[in-house]
Amino acid sequence: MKKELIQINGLSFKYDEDGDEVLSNVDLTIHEGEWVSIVGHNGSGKSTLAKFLNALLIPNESNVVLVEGLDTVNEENIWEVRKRVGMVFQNPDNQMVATTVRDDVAFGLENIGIPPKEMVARIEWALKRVNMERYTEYEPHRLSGGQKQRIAIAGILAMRPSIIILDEATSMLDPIGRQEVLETVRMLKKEDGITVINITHDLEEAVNSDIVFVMNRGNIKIHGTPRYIFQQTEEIIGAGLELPFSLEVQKQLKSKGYQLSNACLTKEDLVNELWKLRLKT
Amino acid sequence: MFQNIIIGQYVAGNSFIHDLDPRSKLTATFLFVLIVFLANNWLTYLILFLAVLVAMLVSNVSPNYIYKGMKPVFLLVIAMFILHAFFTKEGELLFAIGWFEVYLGGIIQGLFIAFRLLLLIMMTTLLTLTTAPIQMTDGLESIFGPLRRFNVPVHELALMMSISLRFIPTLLQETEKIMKAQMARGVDFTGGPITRRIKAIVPLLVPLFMQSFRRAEDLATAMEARGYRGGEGRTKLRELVWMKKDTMAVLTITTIGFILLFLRS
Amino acid sequence: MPNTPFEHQALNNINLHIKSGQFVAIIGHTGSGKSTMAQHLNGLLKPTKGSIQIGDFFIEANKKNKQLNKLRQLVGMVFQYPEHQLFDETVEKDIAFGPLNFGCTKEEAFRKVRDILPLVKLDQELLQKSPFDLSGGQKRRVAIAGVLVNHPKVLVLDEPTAGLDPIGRRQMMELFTSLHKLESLTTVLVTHSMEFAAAYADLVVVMDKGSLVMQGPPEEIFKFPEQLKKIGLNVPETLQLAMMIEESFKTELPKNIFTKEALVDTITMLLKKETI
Repeated sequence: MKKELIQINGLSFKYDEDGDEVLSNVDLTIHEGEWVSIVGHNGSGKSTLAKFLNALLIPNESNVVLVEGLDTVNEENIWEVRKRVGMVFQNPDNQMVATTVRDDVAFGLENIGIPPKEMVARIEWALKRVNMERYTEYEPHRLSGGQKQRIAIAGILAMRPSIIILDEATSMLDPIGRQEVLETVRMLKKEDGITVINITHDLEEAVNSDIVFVMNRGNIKIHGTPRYIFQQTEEIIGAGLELPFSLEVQKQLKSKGYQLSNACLTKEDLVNELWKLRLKT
Repeated sequence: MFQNIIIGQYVAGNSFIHDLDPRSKLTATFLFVLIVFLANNWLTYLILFLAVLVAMLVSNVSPNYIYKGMKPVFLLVIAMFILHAFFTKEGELLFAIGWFEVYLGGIIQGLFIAFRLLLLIMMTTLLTLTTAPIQMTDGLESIFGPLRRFNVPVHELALMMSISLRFIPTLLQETEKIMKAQMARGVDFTGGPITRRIKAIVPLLVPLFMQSFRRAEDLATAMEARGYRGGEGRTKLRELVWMKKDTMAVLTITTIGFILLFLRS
Repeated sequence: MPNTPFEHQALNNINLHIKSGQFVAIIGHTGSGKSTMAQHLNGLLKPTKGSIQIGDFFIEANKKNKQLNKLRQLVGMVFQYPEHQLFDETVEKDIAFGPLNFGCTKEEAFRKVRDILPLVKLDQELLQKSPFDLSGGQKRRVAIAGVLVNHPKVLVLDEPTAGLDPIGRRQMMELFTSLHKLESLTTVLVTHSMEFAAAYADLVVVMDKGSLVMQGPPEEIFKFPEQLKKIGLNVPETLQLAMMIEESFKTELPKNIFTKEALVDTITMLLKKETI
């Protein structure tokens, strides 16, 4: 069994005293080295949940949110938790603090008091990891959305975290930018063993994950492997989401009387299944 | 409209002046400003002018840039000259038209004042041309650092300054976008009576403010997520290192100051 | 900004003819010049060379244009994230902003506002609310209503689904296709989505580096996946899948499979044929 990195036990939350619950009784376990997708439509509570994962929001009770065994309810743990869990936000423009790429990557390191000499080395390394080493002196407004998000990832990487959370980090990007960001994170997961939590409304992005959590109205409705989750078409549609392309086609084929034996997560799967179907008949 | 703006006037380079610590540049410029007021005869002005000339040459910045930096204030310089030339009634009377009299002393005084202003502008332009805004911020933070003891939020002010620098281009892009969107809805920002033009500002400013508030909120969250908790215990990537040449620069200016003390009349 | 080191030509020698009532999609990746081109259509940007004709309006290089406001009434423009342009105290006043600028009386403008609401599927109850208290989706609809309320003949949409979730995206596109028919609009959609271009457009315009590289009906454009890939674009997913099936089944499929329904029909046909 892999090490448990994040554990959430019965987390409920509302922004106002008399408002609706944004999160209600959420349970969640995330293991080391996993690619986790948390999916839900806009307003399902998924971004609020993300804020609990690196102590931007704090639960009222102890033992509700644990990150690598650290209870975020403890004031002393907050800074340690934020060191270990890095977060890339939705709007690429609103998370760069400094006037150049280099200074921006440095920001987090400065915050945790890394000596300047080590900082220089870490910045160089992190920018190389996200393939942005040629942009060290660039100003933010000369970068594309995808490049800005990769700088944000470098800023996190430099702090040597164990978890990266993408909080709808691709939703404002064009297709090329989206690809750049996802490929970068995929590589980090594979080569550096970083745990990835991708919060998204795009189920297509969830296809390759190890585990998927489906959120609706502040609740985790179902969770499991993509193969399992995507067979629960009713639940997915009920959560205000759209099936990935190949599964939607598979579903429509089924309604025409063509039952494929396995859930087709990708176009390749679908072609293979169709081929099998032809052989059978 | 605003795509290609350059923040400040900084021109990257590798000269002796570029490489000086921002603190020594700020100090030297400040001292120079004081010293300029010591000058009151041809010789002292000549010395100051030579000093500025040497600094410019050493900085390797093209005179063209300096000229451009000074252009907007030429009018002010001329106004200063005229003011002093006409209202100083000393020395030989040159000519008079009715009650309007111009004296030689006035002309000389006007020239001195105008020249003094020019020297000041040249020196400060040189400072902004050779110092990146972020270095300037670092320098100011360090110089004013001791004020922290009197509860002046020096670190926060410096951070605010650098965040503003970061967001100026973003805000300009934003302004352009909203202007276009409102123009598409029939707003005319350039023509029409003044009252209408003032009214047209509201549909531009309100969205701009709303957006900026949201940006500020997002940015605060992002900064917190990256472990920001004020200036305490923070290290800095850009360390300011005071070197021999910095001491030299400040000493040179001070020496010029003393020389002027002797030579002024 | 002429005479600066940063000057570059954003658009280069574009020749394009759009017929009244057409649904046009302009595709290309970021920086291809597609938004820049769209902003020429209502005189927000002016050409440095050449001319643009929209209806009876001429925009020519180096000429002052006095009737820009009439043109802007004729050509409605929905920018990316249009909700960022909201500013007034109430939804009603914000939507009425355009008509008032274009010379309507107050009563006329407010009547137009009430008439436009059902078209964007907004409730009359929202009229007196502050636009800033609405949900994201509602805000966007209010902003769009603020453009439609002028009853433009041409509607230019710059990435109108950016930032929406899949359901929001689909609803937004359904809204625009129904408006296109109902109001007999000429619609120009600037988009990254090959799927939208294929499913909705009569005419697809492909831009790259400020030049128009291809134009034609979708079935013509998406015949050339290699050329599209060269400029960082692709064919719609439905067609990608059809092409994969063609290869593995060693068969020929039609080239105009642009919706999932069409794809499913083609597959069932293929399976039936194979089993006979």
